[in-house]
Amino acid sequence: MAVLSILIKNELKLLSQNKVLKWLSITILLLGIIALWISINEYKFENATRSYFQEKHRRMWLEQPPKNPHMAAHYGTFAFKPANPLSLFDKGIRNFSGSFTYLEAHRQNDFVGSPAQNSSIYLRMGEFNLSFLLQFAIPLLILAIASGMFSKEKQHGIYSFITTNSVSGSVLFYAKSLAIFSMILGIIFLIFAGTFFISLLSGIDWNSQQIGAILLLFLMYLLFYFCLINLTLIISLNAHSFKSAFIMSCSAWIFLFFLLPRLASNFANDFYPLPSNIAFKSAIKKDIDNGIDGHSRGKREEIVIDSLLKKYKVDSTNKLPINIDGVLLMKGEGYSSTVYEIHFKKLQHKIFQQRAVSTYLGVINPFLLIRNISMSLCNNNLENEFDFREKAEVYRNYFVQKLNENMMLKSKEGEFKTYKIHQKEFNQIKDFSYQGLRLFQSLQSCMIDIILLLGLLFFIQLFITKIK
Amino acid sequence: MKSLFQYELIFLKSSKTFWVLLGCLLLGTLYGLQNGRSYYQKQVETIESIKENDLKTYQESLKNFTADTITQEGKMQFYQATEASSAMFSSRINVYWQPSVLSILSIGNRDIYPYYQELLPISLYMRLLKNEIANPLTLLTGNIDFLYIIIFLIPLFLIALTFNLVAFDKESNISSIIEISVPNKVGFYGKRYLIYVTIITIILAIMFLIATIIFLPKGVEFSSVFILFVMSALYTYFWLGLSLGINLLGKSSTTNISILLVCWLFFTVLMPSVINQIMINKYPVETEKLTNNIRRIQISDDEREHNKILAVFYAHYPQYKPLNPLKHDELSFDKAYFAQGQLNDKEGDQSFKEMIENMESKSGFLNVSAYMNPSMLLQKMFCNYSKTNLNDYLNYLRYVQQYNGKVKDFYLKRTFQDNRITLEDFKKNYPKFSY
Repeated sequence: MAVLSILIKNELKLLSQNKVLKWLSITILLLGIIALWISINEYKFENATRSYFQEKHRRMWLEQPPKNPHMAAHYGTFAFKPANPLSLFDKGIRNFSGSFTYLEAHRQNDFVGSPAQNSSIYLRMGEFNLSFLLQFAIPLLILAIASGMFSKEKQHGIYSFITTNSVSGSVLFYAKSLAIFSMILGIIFLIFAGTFFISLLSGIDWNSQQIGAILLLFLMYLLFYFCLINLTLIISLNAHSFKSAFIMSCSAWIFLFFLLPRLASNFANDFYPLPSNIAFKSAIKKDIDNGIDGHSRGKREEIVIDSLLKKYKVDSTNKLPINIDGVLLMKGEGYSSTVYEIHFKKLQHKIFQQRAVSTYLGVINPFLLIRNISMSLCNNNLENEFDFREKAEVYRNYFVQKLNENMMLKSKEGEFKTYKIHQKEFNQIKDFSYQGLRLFQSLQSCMIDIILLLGLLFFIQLFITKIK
Repeated sequence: MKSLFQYELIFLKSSKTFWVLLGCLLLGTLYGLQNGRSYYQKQVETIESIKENDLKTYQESLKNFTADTITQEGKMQFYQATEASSAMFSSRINVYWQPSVLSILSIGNRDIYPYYQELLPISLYMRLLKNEIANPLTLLTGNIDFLYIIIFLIPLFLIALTFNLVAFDKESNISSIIEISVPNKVGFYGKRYLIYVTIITIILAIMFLIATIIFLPKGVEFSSVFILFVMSALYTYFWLGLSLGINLLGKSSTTNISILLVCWLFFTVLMPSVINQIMINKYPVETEKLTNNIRRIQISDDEREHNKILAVFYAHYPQYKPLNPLKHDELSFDKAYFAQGQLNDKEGDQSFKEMIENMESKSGFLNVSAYMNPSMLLQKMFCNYSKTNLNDYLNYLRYVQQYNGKVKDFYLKRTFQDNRITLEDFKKNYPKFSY
């Protein structure tokens, strides 16, 4: 242990003299400040806009003139994806998914208004934010420092001198690895702590779940960097010269960070093609047309009517104690929602199959793992996207059915134009509010990635212990 | 020059790295082209199915004009076709943005922008922004297409081949011999670089030939492909020039490759993303503003309300105002409904205009910035030719907006006149979509 600490101190001393490390670290920190400034502005703008429109549409809902409950259900409202402060660390898929949806009776509308839809082509050359620095720039820094650590010593014969004189190869490896790790730890601590405190000073509130997510994210990045440091050192140890170690590391960085993710994404699209929106919608329409739509009187509607007539022992719908129109609207809404859910689940399954391609490729690419972990912990991954959609749909069902129920219980058949509800009833419909997934759920959604990252780290450690 | 050429060729011929990299590059090119083509075909097929449906609907509409009015069903069909107010309620407008064949080379943002919509004559904004189904995760990652190979991979290929062209001589202790035997060091290495210029031009020519002969459909505009080839060649010369400049600084091969890789990262990723992010911040687009115009139109049965709406409507659109207004108009609800819809769309036009202006300002600034960065410039050139950039999308949206306006005008005119549409009128005057 004493030897290890002496070796670490020595390595740290050498690293502190490394100009590349110094300048790259300063550049990364400066870029971090710019990225943070941009991200905070974006968050504040998004937060202000979404809150304003959410409140505005709530006001519009409450202030609508008295009308039939089902008409109010058609008038509908909006669900806005709330701004997420964790996006300061990683925006994930946020820019590529819709930010709001129109909620109304009978229809599950698309989520529209994705920021990417308003962007120019340069968005596809990369997004500049903290996750870019954490996932691309810092690995490059690690590569620049670590690739020369063994190869240079081997070139000058220092390595064989040290390892034949009482220090084992694995101890030396750990000394180098921990020395680089402590430098990286310092840099990312500055990034994380700086982001947290600057965001606090600029008025962003963090709750305990989000603070927990940040701490976990910090920990996950440390594991990722430790993994990367060790992998680069292994390359450095096995290369015959610094040049070849550097070129190999660079090639690996380009392949793993730039090429493989795109290849994985393209393969996923080829293996699990998604239907076009038009095909998806027509399949749903076809299934709904064969069911109950709430407005027409087909065979299925007749079955519902007959069963009600029998239940209440009356011979005509206008003798029923409840409004048959309301009953049919409720049944119709329930039916169309079930049809939509079945089709949407199939689509969701395909999208998760697409993601699985990149998850399993993570076995050979820690970048894909940390990318998934990071967007999951920052609540900007697919699970969050689907959770938001699900909650919006649950809310749509809630308010539409509540209004249909009102019509069914409080009005009579044929009173569609005369029976009206007022602000008091509108107010009884709760406003839509959304909280992202809890930390535990976010963790669950990236558990495979975490296990794979830990597994990778474990195998690397096994390899290191065998170094003589 | 000839012997230098031969020397360099012999060196490359014996270099395994060169052949491996070249093989990877060509494989990547084939994959990128195949990917681009399958994306293009998928969009074309979807549009074709829309066109087919559209044609069917159009033919059914024509049939409805001559429907048998003795039956209840026929009567309904007839009224839906010939009564302008009913037709306006039931009409569906299919619009689509045909991909350019050159999008096979550069998918650009075609996977992000909506390229087809089913609209209603009124409430345009309710459906205008609806998009194709896509996995946001794959959108975030992006595609490998022909342009990706040129912008990202060819510079790496060139860096790998030339990063130690000068340093190798120095590190092998032959630079002093070279300095004695050649009068001008810069000229000597410049000539060696010219050989790489020739090689990369040939490789690019092969890549473009493969693209044109195998992947692009016949009849593609040769001049556009040629211009893209020239632009790509100039782009690769920029990287060779940069490599020569850095090599001539006389640093070690490791320093050279480090600087070149940092330059690669700077030009291909960092600079475009930083500028883009700053512009997003400077010109934020509030799509949420359109929510005011996405909501379904609702009006009451009260004729006084109808008159109020119509008064506002006629003030904005006097062309629809009847010369002799009826005291009690049976179509009062329909007219007021459409009038409200039109007024709502008009308000939406303003929000949409502001949105588009912001997008254009952003795009304009980015396009100017592209002149400071060859990677951005090449991306811009390819996207301009393949029509996959923001401006192309905005042009499409503008066309859709205009077309929707024409369809709306067709129905509104007739609803506010005699509420009649004849078969001849429909065939002759119903606006045709052609974008």
